[in-house]
Amino acid sequence: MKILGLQITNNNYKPMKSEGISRNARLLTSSAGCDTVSFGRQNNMQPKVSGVGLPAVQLHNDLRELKNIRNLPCVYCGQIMLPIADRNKIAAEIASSKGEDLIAN
Amino acid sequence: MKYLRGVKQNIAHSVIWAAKKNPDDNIAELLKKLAPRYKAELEADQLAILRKIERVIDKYPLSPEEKTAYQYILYDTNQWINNENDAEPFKRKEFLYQLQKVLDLPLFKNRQVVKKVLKKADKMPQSFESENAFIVKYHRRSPREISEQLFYDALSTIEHIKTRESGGKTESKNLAIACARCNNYVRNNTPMPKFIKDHPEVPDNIRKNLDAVWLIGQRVRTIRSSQVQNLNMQNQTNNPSYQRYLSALGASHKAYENYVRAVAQTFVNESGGALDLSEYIKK
Repeated sequence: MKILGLQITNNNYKPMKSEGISRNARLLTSSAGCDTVSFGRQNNMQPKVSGVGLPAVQLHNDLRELKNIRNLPCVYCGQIMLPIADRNKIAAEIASSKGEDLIAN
Repeated sequence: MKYLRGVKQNIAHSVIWAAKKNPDDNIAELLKKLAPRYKAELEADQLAILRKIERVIDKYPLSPEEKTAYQYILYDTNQWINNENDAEPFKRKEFLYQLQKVLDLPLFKNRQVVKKVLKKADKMPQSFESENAFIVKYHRRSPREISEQLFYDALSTIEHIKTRESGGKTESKNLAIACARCNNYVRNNTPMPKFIKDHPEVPDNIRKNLDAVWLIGQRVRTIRSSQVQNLNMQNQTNNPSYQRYLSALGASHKAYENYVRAVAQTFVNESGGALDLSEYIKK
């Protein structure tokens, strides 16, 4: 089998799980170029990825929480900011409302 | 309305004005009704930029072939802008891409003029800074897409203080929370000293942001201490899931405080001493 110019033989094949790290986590670390992976808390064992194209694996929890806090002023222009979930909620409300509702809100 | 300002606030006012006349229409239908007037204004702005490019071409001595080629470009662009066919509207990005490709040809020998023409062309109105461009661009889109774009500027995103281009890492001390507009359009890869010089309001806003984060840390401290107190009262400390529960409460106030100190230090380092945030570093 040949992938991206690399010859892979059956002899070299080694299941990734035997190295003590799940396949998904390994893929994430290799794509992000990091050594460690942070998993979600408690039951949520999916690796978390932030919404702005950053590898979330290196971000500390505090920063992820900050990004989701409502009404934080922007560090450069001072604009009051919205988390993406809130933005989507407002957008959905506006999209489904008629002219008279827009005036009222 | 508090999440909207500048151009987006003006657009919201225009939409409300149109809604008073058409109370049964949704936001997409309202934009469609507004579009013709704004399209005329946008075309006037775009043609004014073409005239500026024309002046640049007239000012410099060019070979006859070069001059003819520029005139063809201007003529085609003029036709594209005045095009009444809605299926092929004028698109700024596509125009700039095509212009760049054409001006790379060996025919255009005077590189100084090419540079000036591209600089002028780059000033074609964009939807994030021009009310006309926003309404013309989005009047064919779905209501959901329009309203998402309307609130796009206020979206909180993660910003690299030392840009990735200049080797900034993705770690907490190099990351700040900035709105999508500043992150993607205003700062881009501008070095911090130049950015502060161009935007004198930035130091005050950095302080406001750090104050807000510090305050959140203090709130977290109060909430966590009351929750931990409740757990202690119920003799839950020996419970094997106690530590796990604590971590599930979220970052401790110390994480916020350390973050504020580290980020203030990064801002000072990046600004080359132009910023004084010692009160946060020593806090």
